[in-house]
Amino acid sequence: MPLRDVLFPMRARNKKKDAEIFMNQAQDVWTWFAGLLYTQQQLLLDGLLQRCATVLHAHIASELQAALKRDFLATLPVELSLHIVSFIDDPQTLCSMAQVSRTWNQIASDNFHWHRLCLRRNFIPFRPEQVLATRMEQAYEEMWWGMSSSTVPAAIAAAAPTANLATIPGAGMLVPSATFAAGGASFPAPSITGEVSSSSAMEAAISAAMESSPMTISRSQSRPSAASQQLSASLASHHGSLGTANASSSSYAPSHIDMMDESHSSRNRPRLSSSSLSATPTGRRSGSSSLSVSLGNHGSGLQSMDGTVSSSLSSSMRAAGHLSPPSHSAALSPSMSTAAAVSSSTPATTTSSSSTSISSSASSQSAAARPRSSHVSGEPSSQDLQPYYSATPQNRTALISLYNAYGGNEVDWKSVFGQYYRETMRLQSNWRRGVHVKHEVQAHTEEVTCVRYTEDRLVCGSYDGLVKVWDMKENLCLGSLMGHGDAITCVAFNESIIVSGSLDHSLRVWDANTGRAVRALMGHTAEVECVAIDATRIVSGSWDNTLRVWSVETGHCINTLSGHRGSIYCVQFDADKIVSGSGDRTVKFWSWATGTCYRTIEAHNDTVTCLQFDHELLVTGSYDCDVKVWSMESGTPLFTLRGHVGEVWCLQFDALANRIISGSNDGTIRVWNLQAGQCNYVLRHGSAVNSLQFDDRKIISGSSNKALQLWDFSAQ
Amino acid sequence: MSQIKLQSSDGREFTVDAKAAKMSETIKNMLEDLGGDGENAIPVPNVTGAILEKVIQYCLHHKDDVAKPEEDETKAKKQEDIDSWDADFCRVDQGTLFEMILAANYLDIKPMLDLTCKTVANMIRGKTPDEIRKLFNIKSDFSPEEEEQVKKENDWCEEK
Repeated sequence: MPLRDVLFPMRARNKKKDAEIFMNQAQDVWTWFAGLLYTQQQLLLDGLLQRCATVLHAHIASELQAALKRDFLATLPVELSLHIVSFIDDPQTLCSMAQVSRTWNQIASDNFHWHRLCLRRNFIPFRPEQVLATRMEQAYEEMWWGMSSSTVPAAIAAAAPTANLATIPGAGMLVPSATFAAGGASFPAPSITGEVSSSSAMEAAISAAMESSPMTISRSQSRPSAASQQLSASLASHHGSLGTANASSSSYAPSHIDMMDESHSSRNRPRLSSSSLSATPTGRRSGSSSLSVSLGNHGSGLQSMDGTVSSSLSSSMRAAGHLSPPSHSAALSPSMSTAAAVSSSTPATTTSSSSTSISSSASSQSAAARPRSSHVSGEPSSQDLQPYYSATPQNRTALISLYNAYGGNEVDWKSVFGQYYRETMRLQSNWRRGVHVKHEVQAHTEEVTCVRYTEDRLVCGSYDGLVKVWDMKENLCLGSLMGHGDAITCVAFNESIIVSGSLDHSLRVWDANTGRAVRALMGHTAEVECVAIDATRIVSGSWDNTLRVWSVETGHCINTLSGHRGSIYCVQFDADKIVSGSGDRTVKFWSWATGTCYRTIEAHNDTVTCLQFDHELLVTGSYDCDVKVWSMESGTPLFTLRGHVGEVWCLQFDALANRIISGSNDGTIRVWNLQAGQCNYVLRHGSAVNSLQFDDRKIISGSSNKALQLWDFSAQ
Repeated sequence: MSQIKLQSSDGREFTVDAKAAKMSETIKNMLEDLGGDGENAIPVPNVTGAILEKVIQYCLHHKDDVAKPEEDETKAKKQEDIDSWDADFCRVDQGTLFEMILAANYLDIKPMLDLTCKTVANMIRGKTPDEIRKLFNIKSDFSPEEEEQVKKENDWCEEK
């Protein structure tokens, strides 16, 4: 219908002319209106609205609804859009936003936000200084031993009894395995330095991005070429700091194989730490293929820089088995971290998800240990090795540039986040449903009585009188600590010392890096049953009904706490207090300040065997088969967890994860819901569970069947 | 000089407490550069009178605020930290809010920029793609294939 018919439906004549006149008039009104002051416009509109029919109000309302809406993200300047999105914290909303339109997708998927989310949740694929350290270690090995670790897939059969390191009988100390002495001793210092410098660089970068005002947040663009340049530059500078690369991998490969054979055949000779080697090929390489892809790429970037080094470096990088990702603490799997690297360089690569952590590597080997342990058989002691990685300015620059290469825009942080997120969800779901894979390692010749682990070390003790130290990443027994005259009952350790308690009435302190015996702590007049440590103090509990406090530095007994009328089975302490559980069925709280007992809880109907507390809760386990939860503040019982049909021997709880896990003489591990106070499920084991510890991914338990069990909840 | 004059893009003049006006880094710099005598109105060419009125309202309310220490960027920003006055202040139509964001940015009033951006973020938070499109009157410009692709890229986040 022509406009004139719409405007003047009733009048037949002069329609066209009338419509023209009307339009001209309307045009005049609009022009006039546009020229009015804001207040005048308002006044005029008010008047018009009053004179309108209701149908027109409805029309105006619907028109206004659309007119008043704004596509903020698409129409605001980009830096302001990004600023808006910076207030969105939850990944769900960001993902919703990405599906709205093309522009929204671009803005909501920006690396800037996802990097922020990754940082906040600690989803850092790997700490670059560790990657660097690992690479330097490998480069160093290449040069020092002149062999490639990528040729023969060999495995240290950690599960087999041959994993036991040969020890010198009567020496009273460990014959340190090569990795243990060299790797352990030289690593802590540099990685700390690296962390400091790179994280401060990181912070500087963030604050620089945030401070500029008004908003100037640069959009992130991937520049793979820049990444490889940076990387090659940083690697080239390692080369400089490491000295001359005089060995190429290819020329030394045959000798490497020879040495492998030699170590294999001479496995039973004493003082051969390489006895832990067996040339069993494993299927592990498939799992780590994704890593070799990404590192191979970086390696090729290097080739243009320096022919000699690059060949050895890239080949060592391809020794995928060795480059296990360093940041276990962030609860991620190797596949996660490697995938991050892959996505940064080769977006199209699909990563084969390898099953992870020490479970999958139950039969894996240490590529790093191999050359060194071979070396032990024929050359001077590995202890002669000096720390080769020191924080020179060169190194620091290299670290920062490497960090920038990985921490900046070269990583697709959204996909990193997505993978972590899925991983976290899967873990949660696995824990909820009890989905796990169980692995067992025959660790001792008698019952395992105690086990403690961190992300890279595991220490366990047994009735066989040995304390064994394991590398968690390589799943490799680093050595046995010999010296106690009777069964080991308890262990505790930190970065510098390992402390063990024994039925021989003594405690022993060992150097955590070398395995050397530092001293014996004598004083208890009966069997030592439990121990807890921090940086300066050791607290032990004994069948002589006392707790003793020892100085880490001097080894002197600082204090003896008497009051329990039964053997002491468990102890934990924090800055203010010591809490102990005893055969007298009580839990006692001791003040550090006064050295006296200030609270006694009649906790159970039988011996209190295990306890743990945080600022809010105390959880105790007992021979009476119960696990009880107490208020830390008042010391009153909150609830009791019943279900075990045997003595409860060990427990741990994690309030954040809402879990209590207890192990019992009845051969089961029970996983409880802390808030609900209910048992989620029972893990049947078959033999008494003497000790356990868990984290986000797994439970590790030690039991009377002489083995360590790993209950891996990170399975796909 | 306790009062200064501002002139909006549509010619309206506002007399404002100087302290409030100086919440705007832009105006503060102008005052320093011009050494204004308080007689001549300072032109604010990019902001209309209606919006400038809102800005002045904000500045008057917040002129005595103590500057907050810089937030840790990795720390969670909470939506609850909008107080009721600020929430009311931002209860305006999207067009006005849009102009307010631009004005706060142009005048360089960081707390107001944060407030207005946060308000938009709160409108978006927790909504599905369809709800967001409806809220802001956005037409999806994805082709069906793209839509499928984007959906796949983002489905990992959905609660299962």
